[in-house]
Amino acid sequence: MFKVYRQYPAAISGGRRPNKALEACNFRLVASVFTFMKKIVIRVVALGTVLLVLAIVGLILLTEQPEAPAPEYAVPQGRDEAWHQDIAHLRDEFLRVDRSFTEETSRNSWIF
Amino acid sequence: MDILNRLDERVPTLSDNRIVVEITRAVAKSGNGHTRTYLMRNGNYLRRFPVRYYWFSDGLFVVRATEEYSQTLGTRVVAIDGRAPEDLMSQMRDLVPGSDSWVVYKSTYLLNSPEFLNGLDVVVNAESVPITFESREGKRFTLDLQPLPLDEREGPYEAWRDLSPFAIGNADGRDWLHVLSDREVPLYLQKSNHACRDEYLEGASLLYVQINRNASDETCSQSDFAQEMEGLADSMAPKALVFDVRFNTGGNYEETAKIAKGLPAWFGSAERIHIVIGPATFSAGIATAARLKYFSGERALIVGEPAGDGLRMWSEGPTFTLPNSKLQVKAATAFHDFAEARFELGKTFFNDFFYSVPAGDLHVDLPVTVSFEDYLSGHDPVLDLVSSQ
Repeated sequence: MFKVYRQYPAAISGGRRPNKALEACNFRLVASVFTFMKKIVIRVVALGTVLLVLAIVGLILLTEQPEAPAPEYAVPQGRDEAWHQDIAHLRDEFLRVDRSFTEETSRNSWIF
Repeated sequence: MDILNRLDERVPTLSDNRIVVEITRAVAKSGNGHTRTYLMRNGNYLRRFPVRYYWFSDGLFVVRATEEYSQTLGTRVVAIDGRAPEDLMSQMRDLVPGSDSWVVYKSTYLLNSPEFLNGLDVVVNAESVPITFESREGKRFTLDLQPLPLDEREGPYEAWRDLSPFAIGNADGRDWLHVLSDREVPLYLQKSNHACRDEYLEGASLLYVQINRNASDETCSQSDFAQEMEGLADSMAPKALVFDVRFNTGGNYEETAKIAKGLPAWFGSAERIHIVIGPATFSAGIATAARLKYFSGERALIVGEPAGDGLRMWSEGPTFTLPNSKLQVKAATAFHDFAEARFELGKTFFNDFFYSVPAGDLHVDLPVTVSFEDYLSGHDPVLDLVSSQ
């Protein structure tokens, strides 16, 4: 157990004079422990920050999948073909936003 | 069962209006309020009648009308081409995904479009529809209503705003008449154009806070509003707090995150925090109510009518336009869970990691409905009940 004495006024330190050599030794020890702890803390914080950024990027990539380009259609010949194209487009778009589609698990499976 | 394949096969035999209805029906099979066709609320795809009506506890009543149909103001809609609007609600159920409350709110739009009603085989001729009205004296009369030209404005049209004579948000350049023009407007409709507002009712020692939209605009900055409320707490100790999101159909839930968390702490004097919800409370409006309930703990009381959706909902996602009909459809792709705040990678909306709370449910503790007479007399049964608590 080390005690670090500081240069208190005589009234506070009870008139005791601190041991200068011991004081210097204690300060060096505390300083080295402090420096060591500081390095550890800095590294932990830095590592934590990097991991947090990676986790955020990962989450964004997982939750917001990039979309494929929208399909193109030929100019429809007549009213019926126009509606056929629209219905096909509706189906394509739901497939496009839900690429993990399976009959059982898809959130948009009702439409297929 | 392939709904779209069957529809595709029937195209030659169906009218355009019917195909729009069937596409709406197919999309509604999702059972999710955010996955929908944009017909009249978020898009202007269909024409509408020159009157606007709204559901009250005692029926469907006309609240706005063009000058030509001024005699319909304040009347009850008895029949649309011979069919009672109440009887048409079972058909609305298949066309509007979401809760029963949301179906009621959205039907206000669908029942107002002759083209949609024609697609449903409810009306024979979309260009002239006989509608029977009943005056407050009990006199019935029938008028043939022609649809107004398509309103091509962009931006959402909120049916609830039609309740207020100050509803500039729904203005389309016409001189609309309003049933409350010369009457007292209830407190909850006095600032219908404002995204947020507050009012201190000194006699009841009640602080009334209303958020009509989870957004900041020229009428309200939500962050400034939250700051203002926090500052107000230094000089005010209300016994009750009413937080009204009955008309909040959504927006960005982050906008109200601070106020929903802060209010219970700032106003510790309020023994009860009444959260007012209704059929038009939807999306971010629900998230806001859920967060306030969670942070209010035992002090929270839900008042009004069931909200337009549950605490677990699909939302976000793209809106796409069909190439020929130009009909817009939204597909919701991100999940929210404000019941248990469970986070699932690849399914849950990313921001929920920071904002979701386990609010349990939004079960209505104090059910209150509004009759047309309440509305017409400037009364708010919700505030009446809360004040008497």
